[in-house]
Amino acid sequence: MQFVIIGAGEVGLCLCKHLLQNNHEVVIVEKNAQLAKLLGENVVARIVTGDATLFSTLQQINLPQTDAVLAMTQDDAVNILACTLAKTLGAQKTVCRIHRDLHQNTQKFNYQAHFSIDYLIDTQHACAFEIAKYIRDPHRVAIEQFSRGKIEIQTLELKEKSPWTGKTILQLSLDNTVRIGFIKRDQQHFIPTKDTLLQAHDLLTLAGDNVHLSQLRTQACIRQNIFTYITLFSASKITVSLLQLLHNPYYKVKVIEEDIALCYQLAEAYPNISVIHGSATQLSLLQEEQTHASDYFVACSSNDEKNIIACLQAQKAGSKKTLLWVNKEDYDAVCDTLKDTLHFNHLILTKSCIIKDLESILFPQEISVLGTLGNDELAPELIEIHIPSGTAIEGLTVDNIPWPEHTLLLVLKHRFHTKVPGAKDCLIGGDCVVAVVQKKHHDAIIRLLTQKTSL
Amino acid sequence: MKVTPLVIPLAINFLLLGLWFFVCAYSGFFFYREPLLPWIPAILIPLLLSLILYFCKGKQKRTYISQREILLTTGISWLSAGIIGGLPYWILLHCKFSIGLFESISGLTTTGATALLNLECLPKSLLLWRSVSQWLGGLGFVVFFVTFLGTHGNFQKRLYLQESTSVEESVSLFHMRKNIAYSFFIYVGLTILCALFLSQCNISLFDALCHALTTVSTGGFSTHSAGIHHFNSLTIERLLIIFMLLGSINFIFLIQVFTRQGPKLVKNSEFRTYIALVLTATLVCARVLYPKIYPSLPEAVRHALFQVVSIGTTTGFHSVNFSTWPNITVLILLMLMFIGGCTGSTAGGFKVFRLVALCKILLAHLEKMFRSNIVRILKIDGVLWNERKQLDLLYFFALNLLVMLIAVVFLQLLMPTIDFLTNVSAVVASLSNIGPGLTSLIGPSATFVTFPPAAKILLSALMLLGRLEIYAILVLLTPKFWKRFD
Repeated sequence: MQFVIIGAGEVGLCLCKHLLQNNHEVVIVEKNAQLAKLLGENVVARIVTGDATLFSTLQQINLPQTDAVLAMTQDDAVNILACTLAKTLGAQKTVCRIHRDLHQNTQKFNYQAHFSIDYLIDTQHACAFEIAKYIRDPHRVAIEQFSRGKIEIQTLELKEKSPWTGKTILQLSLDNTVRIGFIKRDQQHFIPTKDTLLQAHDLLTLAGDNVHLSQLRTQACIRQNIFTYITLFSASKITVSLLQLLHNPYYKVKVIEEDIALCYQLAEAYPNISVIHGSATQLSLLQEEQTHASDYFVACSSNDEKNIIACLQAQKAGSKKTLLWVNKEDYDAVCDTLKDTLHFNHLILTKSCIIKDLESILFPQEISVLGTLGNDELAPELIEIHIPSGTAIEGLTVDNIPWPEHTLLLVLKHRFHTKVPGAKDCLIGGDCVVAVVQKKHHDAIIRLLTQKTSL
Repeated sequence: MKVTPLVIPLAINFLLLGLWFFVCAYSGFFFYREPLLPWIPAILIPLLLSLILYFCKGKQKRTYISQREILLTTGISWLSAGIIGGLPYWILLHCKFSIGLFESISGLTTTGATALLNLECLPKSLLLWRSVSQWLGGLGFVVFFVTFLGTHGNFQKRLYLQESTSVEESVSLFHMRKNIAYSFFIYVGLTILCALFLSQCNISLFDALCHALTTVSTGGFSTHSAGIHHFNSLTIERLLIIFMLLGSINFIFLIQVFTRQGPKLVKNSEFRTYIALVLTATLVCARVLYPKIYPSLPEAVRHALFQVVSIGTTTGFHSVNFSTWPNITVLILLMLMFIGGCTGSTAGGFKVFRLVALCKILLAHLEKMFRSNIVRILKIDGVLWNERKQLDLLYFFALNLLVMLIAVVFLQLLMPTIDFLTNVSAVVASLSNIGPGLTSLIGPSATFVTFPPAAKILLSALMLLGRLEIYAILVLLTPKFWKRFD
């Protein structure tokens, strides 16, 4: 396959090496002539020197023959403009790297649709996502990542006095935009139907937008008193993305940062967290800040050496789990060895996070299992399915499709729009769905959504 | 510093006062056949002054007006209005200068303390002017008319910011005018509603109107020496409680709530704290009063609620002689006096919003004592309070206490026989624009008539200081303010 990478920075170069290793053809567009020259001598890829936002530069590449254009510069505006231009010039797929500020704005404005960009990726967010996955329930994070933050997953435990206890799901009259994905009862997960009677101590997993989920929580009078205490070292960009992923009253987050200006910025943006001015490499500070009560200590500053020391100090201070984030590609192997030697619980490598995120875009799998909640045949399975064009169900509304028993559609992604699907939503080719099915119906649902024969 | 910017606001003030004098005089003449002649000098003097100032204004070329000029304008406008407002008392009652000034400033600053006896014997036109002066004071008439009639954009904005305590500096002139217009309509609307409701309670239309004017403005002047006790009506007390509370809540916030443009009423921390304060104080007072003072609980609650609201809103009405209540209730009322009402309302005092902010600052500071590395950002109702703003509040609080302390010392020097509680409550009641004090000497059943002239002038100055949030008057007393180049 042929790929065009715009920008030979850290991310661009890391991606280039990975693609070359996997025998793909790569063209790099770099504005900096000196860097381009250096790359020409060291990298086995075609180098085009010039500004990717200019037609004359992109004209030098045969874009209609390119499988994907990846704009990976530091500048969001350059990336957007280059992708739009590349799409106009015939690129099949465009992937645009964006940063936090723009990423936050994508919730309010559809940049993808407006600028005809196929995928927007935030590399910092991808790394934060990997950390969040470890801290939170990985299935939940997977769905949230799939919906790019537009749909949230929350778990509610029903109390005996809750008004929901003793009612069927039908009696709850839930809003169309909310789903009860699965229920955990007596250590068993199952997919509820409209007649499922809710019992005390049931653990419900709900999907929907944040506002509606909060309203449901109030309706069900559910108050959770189990908190997870997390200490983060430094107010890096990853920390900010991580704070968004951990935006939940049940996560008590503390951030330690050396730069006082950054401390104030963070404290202003996130009033519900505690911001501590100081260095996490100081044991006394960690002890003062009661790190022994932390369930997780995450060292995610941009300085790898400091991250390692901070993790060691946090262990010494009594943190239950330590997570180390590694920036430099060079340190990957060393840190991998250190992880076991120094008893770090989890290691997050920037390179692998970025590549993992981009691979899911560049080489999408038609069907992927996001997670399974049990071993038996009746256990719920979270499955992501891309619906190809020309299938039998194309054009049918959700209520007219003969779903296998105990199937629940959680998320529907239609081009740039992600939502919890309603009964009258239509499925068409190119759509992508996340469904919860019983394991035994795994094949049936794939057949249903991908087979091109009539029903 | 030039005095040119002063001219137009002063001219407007004098014109307005002259016209209102005429309205009051004519009302007395028309409805009660009172003579017009004694009012003529009182009407002509401000009108002539206004005319002279208008012709003296010259050409106003400068568009920039400095902070000094704004402060000077605010201070002089209120001071001159206080003096001119005293004309009817001096001319009609032939009273001493200090009594007229005290009464006038007490009215315009919505304080409600009086130095007059036998109110029932005063001309109705003068009683109407007393009430109108409070209504105008509550409106913050200097700002209102200058904003609409003035020409300098930055001048109007600065003047508005000078007198408002809850407004952000980023407010545009358009929004400022809109806010003032909305506040004005709410103010007028509430006054009309209050007068209409009161008139249905078996009291004369004159009493209803005068009390409506002084209730919504949280002033507290009554047309009867016995105050609200004169009517002895539960319905009237209930009505007054509602309108006093409405008058002491931020008007802009009320608009936002009713038009659903802003947060819900309960989400506003100032409102929540205010209501919590009123309810807690009422419950504590009622518990203390029952059965010691009042044998029935409803009666204790009734009087406790009325007095707590009346003092808490800085109105100063009285339904009973609360100076005879136990010490703990008097202390609670003294505390409420100091706190006052909400920002952006007609109420005076330190303001509940500032109290909320002060508590948050102090709590954050306490946390720093055992957690020196913590970085906290103070946000109140979504508004960021940076370090400078926090310091400003602390300075203001300290200045308030300092002014109070100095005033207590001066009052003690002027009246060596006065007891400590009378002294403190007189100072707090004046500075917070409440009116009556908490002891029998200056309490609900008494007046400030026994105070020597110098003491009355001191208390009048405190009223002005309280109305203008201290700074606008205090800076005029600093020598550097008057220096051309320093």
